Amino acid sequence: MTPIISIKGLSKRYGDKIVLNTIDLDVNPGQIIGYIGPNGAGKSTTVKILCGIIQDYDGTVTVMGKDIKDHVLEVKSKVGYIPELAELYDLLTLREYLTFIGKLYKLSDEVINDRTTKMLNSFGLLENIDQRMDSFSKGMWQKVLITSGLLHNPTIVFMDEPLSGLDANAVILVKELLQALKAEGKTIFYCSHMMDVVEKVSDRIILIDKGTIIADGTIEELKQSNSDNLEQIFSRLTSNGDFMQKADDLAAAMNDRDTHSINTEN
Amino acid sequence: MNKLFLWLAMLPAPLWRILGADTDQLTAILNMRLMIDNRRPIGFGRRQAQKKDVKHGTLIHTFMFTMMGCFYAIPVYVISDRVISMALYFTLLLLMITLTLITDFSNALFDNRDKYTLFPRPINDRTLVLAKLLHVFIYVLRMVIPMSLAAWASLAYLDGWRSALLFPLPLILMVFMGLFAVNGVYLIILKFVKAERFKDVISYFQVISSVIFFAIVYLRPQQMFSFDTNSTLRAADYQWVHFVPTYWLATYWSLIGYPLTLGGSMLLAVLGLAVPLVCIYILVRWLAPEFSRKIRY
Repeated sequence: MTPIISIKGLSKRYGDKIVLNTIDLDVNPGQIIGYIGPNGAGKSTTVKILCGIIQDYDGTVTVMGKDIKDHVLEVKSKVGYIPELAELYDLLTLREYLTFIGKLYKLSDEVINDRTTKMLNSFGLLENIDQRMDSFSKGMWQKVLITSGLLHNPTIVFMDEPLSGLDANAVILVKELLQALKAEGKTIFYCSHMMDVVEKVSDRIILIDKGTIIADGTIEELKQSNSDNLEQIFSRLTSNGDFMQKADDLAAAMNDRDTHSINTEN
Repeated sequence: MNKLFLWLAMLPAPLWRILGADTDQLTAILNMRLMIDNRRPIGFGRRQAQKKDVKHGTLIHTFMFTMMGCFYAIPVYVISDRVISMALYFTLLLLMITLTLITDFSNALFDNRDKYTLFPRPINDRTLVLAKLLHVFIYVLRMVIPMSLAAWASLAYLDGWRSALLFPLPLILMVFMGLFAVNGVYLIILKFVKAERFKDVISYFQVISSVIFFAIVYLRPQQMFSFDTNSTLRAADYQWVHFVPTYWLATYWSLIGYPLTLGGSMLLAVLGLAVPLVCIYILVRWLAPEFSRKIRY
């Protein structure tokens, strides 16, 4: 099967800091990829490169058979990007904002209106369509971001913490949405810290730490024992695991008591 | 009014297409920017802490700029030497526009929200740069047109139609100078600080510019030149004005018969035409793309 995303030797640095270190990765179409890693591991940078937002990197990245550096507009028109709690043009109404997004993708007014109405209705935002977005809650903003990322019916969807700020019902809705998109043959690249969701929805999980892929496989392949869940796998691979001690130290710090780790160092 | 400006900006649409812009996207971006400008809280060079619902921002701005224009046009009413009065007028207006743009417009140019809404969309760099330039141009026109009405009316009343007809040309050239100066200052600041800290530096600049602005208001134009309108000027004492770009613009009035009391020749008028055009060419060709690249990441 020809991979829909192919990354070869991808490296990215900001000044002296290496954010991505020679990443190689192939993604087949129609899969949900769970892309996880600790803060600062390079997840968002990978997604921004795959969406064509960051273009100064080393290595080769092809999306749908096109090298992003040479076909950035073509790639951008076929992928959807849903960032985490991004800022929106909040002085616009919801309708104005989504119409603007639709026009950037050259959708007709009819298509924009039809899709906007259906999507906002599903998210329970239809009654807010003519309100300015500066009065919206975090969860409403996230729903707008999801709607605007899917409005042009992309083939690949990149989601960077799409569940931020959403209430429990909306989380269930988005999880169902992921399965529905997969059923339509779309590829979903899903970055998140919510391990239980990633474990449940992903066909394949990729764990990145310090700019390098340290684990890659299905949840079954990543498990070392039957009792492991993704959170435990994540913790085992990316930290030394002394969380109880660290939590005690934090609590002790608030009470002006000596902490264990400092005592140990002394 | 926004529709009129949008129509004007898109009038040369075939030219924008030749330059590589996507005119549908350009129209959509400009329309969005103007809508936001119209709703943005009112503030001249001040960042607003409070969010206030503004419905007709453009109309309120227009009224305030017209009132301010009456103040800036004082040299035109009180100084009978037309070349000197226009040099002072253009200096004041250019200073005001440049300072306002540097402090106020950074909010629009460094819109962090573009990162999430525009950069992931299939928009080419030329469309983005052109949208930014046209937005700046409309923004300046919205300020300059009402601000110049008083001077324009005064010239028509005091001097007649020839002077009034001449006025828009140096005015547009002055706008080009202002845009060049603003972009120049932005790029210089960006050379020393990162894009994220840019707004902080602009805040310091805001304080400094306020001091300069009030100094100018208190010194008053006549005292800067330390003469009264009835005395005779010695051109030799004011040779330095030949190096002031706004004086070059004022020398246009010598073309319709007003004397060059402070000296100078046709060469200054040629400079007054050539320099702003070169400035705007450099701005479009190099500065704006460079600026856009720097704030992108």
